[in-house]
Amino acid sequence: MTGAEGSLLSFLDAPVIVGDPEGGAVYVNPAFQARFAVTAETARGRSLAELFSGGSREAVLQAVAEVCEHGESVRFRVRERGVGFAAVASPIVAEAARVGVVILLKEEVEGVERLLSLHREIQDPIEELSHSLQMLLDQTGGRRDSRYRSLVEGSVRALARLRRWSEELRVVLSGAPDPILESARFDPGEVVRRVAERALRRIGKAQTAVELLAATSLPAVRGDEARLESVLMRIVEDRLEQEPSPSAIFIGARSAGTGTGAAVLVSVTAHWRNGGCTALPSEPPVLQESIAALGADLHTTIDPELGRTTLLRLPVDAP
Amino acid sequence: MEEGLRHYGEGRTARAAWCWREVLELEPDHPGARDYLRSAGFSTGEVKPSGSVGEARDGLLADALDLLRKGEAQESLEMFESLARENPGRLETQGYLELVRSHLYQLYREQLRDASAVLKVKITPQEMMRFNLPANAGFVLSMIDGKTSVNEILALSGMDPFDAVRVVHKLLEAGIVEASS
Amino acid sequence: MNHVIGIDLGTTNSCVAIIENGQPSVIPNAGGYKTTPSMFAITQDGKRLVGHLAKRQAITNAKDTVFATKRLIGRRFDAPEVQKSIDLSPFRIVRGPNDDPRIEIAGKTFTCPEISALILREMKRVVEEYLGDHVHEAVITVPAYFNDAQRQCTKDAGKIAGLEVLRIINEPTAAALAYGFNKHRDEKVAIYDLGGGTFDISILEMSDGVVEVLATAGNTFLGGEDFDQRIVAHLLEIFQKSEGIDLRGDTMALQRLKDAAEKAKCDLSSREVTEINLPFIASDAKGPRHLSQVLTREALESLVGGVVRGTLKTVEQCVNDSGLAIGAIDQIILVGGQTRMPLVQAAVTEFFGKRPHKGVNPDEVVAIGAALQGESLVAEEQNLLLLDVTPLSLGIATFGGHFAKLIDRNTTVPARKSHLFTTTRDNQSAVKIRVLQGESEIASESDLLGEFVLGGIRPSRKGEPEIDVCFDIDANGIVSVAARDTATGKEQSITVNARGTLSAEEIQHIIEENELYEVQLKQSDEVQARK
Repeated sequence: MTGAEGSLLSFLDAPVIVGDPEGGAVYVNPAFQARFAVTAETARGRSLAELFSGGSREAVLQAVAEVCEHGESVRFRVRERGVGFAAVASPIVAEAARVGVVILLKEEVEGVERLLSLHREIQDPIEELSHSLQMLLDQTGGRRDSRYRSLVEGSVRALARLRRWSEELRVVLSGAPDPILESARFDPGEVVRRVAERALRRIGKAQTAVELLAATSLPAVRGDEARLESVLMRIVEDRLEQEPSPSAIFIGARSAGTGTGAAVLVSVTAHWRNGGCTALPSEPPVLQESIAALGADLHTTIDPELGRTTLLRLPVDAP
Repeated sequence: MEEGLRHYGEGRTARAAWCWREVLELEPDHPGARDYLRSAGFSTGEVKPSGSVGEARDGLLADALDLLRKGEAQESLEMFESLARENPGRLETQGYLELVRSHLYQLYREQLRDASAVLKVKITPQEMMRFNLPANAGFVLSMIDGKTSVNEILALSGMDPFDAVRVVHKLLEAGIVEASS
Repeated sequence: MNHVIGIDLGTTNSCVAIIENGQPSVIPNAGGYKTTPSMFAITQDGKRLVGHLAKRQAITNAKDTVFATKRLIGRRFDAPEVQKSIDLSPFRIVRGPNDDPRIEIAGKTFTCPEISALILREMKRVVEEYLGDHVHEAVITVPAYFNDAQRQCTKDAGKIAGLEVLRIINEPTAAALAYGFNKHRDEKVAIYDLGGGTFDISILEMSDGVVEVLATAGNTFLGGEDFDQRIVAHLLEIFQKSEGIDLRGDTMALQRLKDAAEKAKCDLSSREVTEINLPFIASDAKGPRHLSQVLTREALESLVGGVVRGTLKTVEQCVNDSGLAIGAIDQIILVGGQTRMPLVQAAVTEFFGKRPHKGVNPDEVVAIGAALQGESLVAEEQNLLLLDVTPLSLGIATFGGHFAKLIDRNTTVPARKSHLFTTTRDNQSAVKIRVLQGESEIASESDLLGEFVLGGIRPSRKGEPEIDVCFDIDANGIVSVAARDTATGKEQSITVNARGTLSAEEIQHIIEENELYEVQLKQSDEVQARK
């Protein structure tokens, strides 16, 4: 490869790799090095296929063999580290009229998937911020008239709103037209287990106990699993934000009914010590809409002495 | 009828009322059941000719709540469970059932005190056959080998934790098993 | 003192042994059992269970309880054994980024070496508790038919568990070592290994301290668990007929039935009749229902006779492969708890025309052999030498999707063989060499070990170029394949060298993750204690 060719390839954003007639790597441009975590030195001399993993190796080998045999360009697809690439392998005339291979890769961006992935990454800094604010709040002591404290408390409330909107964004993204997601069969037990784990992390140093009341095997239901998890988490957070906070939160799932009336009842129950459960607002309209979109019936029961339970009834999906 | 009388004689008036109401469910005109309920100070949940079955159910729901207020949580749980079995789609009943379950779960766990205690069967297999135990109690009993703690049984049973704790509580209360630290 | 532990990492049960004062001994776990179920589970509340505790809730928590990962380790996701496991397993098996099977339970994904590492770590812990000291080195056994990737993945599992694996040895070889301990005789030995989940038969020649494996065969999906399942099915049928209740969908009842079936099966090895009593197994409007059933040895044998007969067909194939006559086999050794069954012993006796040797404990013999091998690796005097065979044929894919074998199965290693191949088209400038392992004549049905391209072939008519393909297997079972164009002298080669399905970085990441989990676990235990 000439110096001019090499410097041209180094400017490309797309990963490029050049192979010799024996299928060994001769050159990888900076974009390839960054994307595939190799250096020019470690790549040189290795088989082209070895720079890829799993099923992609076969695809690369196949493409290289075809280019070598027929002397024509070949299109193919590879997947590396969860990202899809559309690739083209073309012949390149090397010294002594021998034919080498140049492969160019173009990343396939998957819209909603990418946004959901970004949403997941956003959760980490949100959790860190929450933890830091909580520490700051603890350090201000019991000075209620402190302007500093009120600033921190305001930040905590704003963070709570950010978290809620982040979840709604996720609900919207998950609810983007995807008939496969919306009608998928899933285990509601797995959902409540995840919600309980998240609730435990969310509570931190608060005095609220979290309990999971669900058997290990429950009938499967059909619907949007991500939306259900989001709805339940939203309800848990609403309860935690009540003043005073509940003494215990129970996340439950159990079977009810048989035959065509069989259902799974998923619930979030909050207890308050000393009858702290006074008149509480009903679920916000956005949440009610989400629940309706799940195909679930919603019911809230409030007892001044026992607490509040929000129940979702999900019809069992017949096998 | 007899079971209701037995409960009434042992001071469990709410359970007695429940039994007599069951009789009325099967035989609405049973005179004895109606008399006993009135004597014990309970409503008969009569259905007026123009009334609905739902109104009778509402009466039973009110009774179950009444039991709850009186502190007879276990009895109220059984009533709610029975109502929920009859009409599983009625979410009001299911909601109360959920509240009572979680309340009792906390109560049972507190009463268990030391969840690391090991359970042992106290009675012989022949004596055990006298009891009317559900299948989940049989399952929990099969796990009790004199080496397994309460916590381990709860973790290994795969049951709803409330059901598991309730069974353990029942077995301890009935003297079928004992706990030792 | 530096102990090398010997671990029999079984499909269903594992066992660990050490050499103490020159004598082998199997180390029991805290519960007093000398074998530990090869099972791992995560409970509803996130607790991780290994061994007996995991087994106790295997049916009630089926989707989050992992077993028999030995059937998956080192294989590709598309392998028939993996696909069959997917059909049979209640837990999820998914495709990993390296095209390996991975296991998803309780929202977490595990590699197969990771799961095996959890079992190995448990065995390590058992010994460390017994000795009051750390152990770092181990010899681990694998089935004789395990290929390179499976052996390497087992080594990776050892590394993740914090063990330096000095050697991977074949299970029948380990059993023969234990049998030959202190017995200096020249003999031809058949090892009939019927464990909980797999069946293996091997023919060995022992001479002057040298153990040579002449032939080996087996069935990855046949074992004692199949016997249990037949008893459970029998009980379910009886109960349905007598009580009108179908317990198939009742996981609590099935857990009890499975445990009772296994116990009854074991009882009937020493008794003619046993009773199965399961009170309060079900309940309905009429009240509680109980299962009380007598099972005789005769009834059990009629339930499982077909399974036992099936093993003898595999035995016959193996004996043919060894080139020996049945009468030339001097001793038969039984390995695996299932061989305690009188029917199995009678069937083996009838086939070989002589009674199997009963001087060794079938549950423990493989672990003891592994411990002996470990001892000999670190001892100054090494009086045990092992020669092994390649369990599967090796070759390359050829035109038309065929598999051309260069090295037949059961060839003693080290070995070297070469063959001339040529092009299939005029002016073909490159050939792709695909190295395969298996027995089918069709390339796509065999395992791909590796591949490379040999280019620069001079333009010529098809059939004229001569490509010399050479296979070389060394004593450790490492395969190298080279292809040389005799006209130009150009050569390419690959070494299928100790490549499991995980990279070194992945292994290190798993090790660090498990260490972090152990720290977290300790903290949560401390919190629990404070509560």
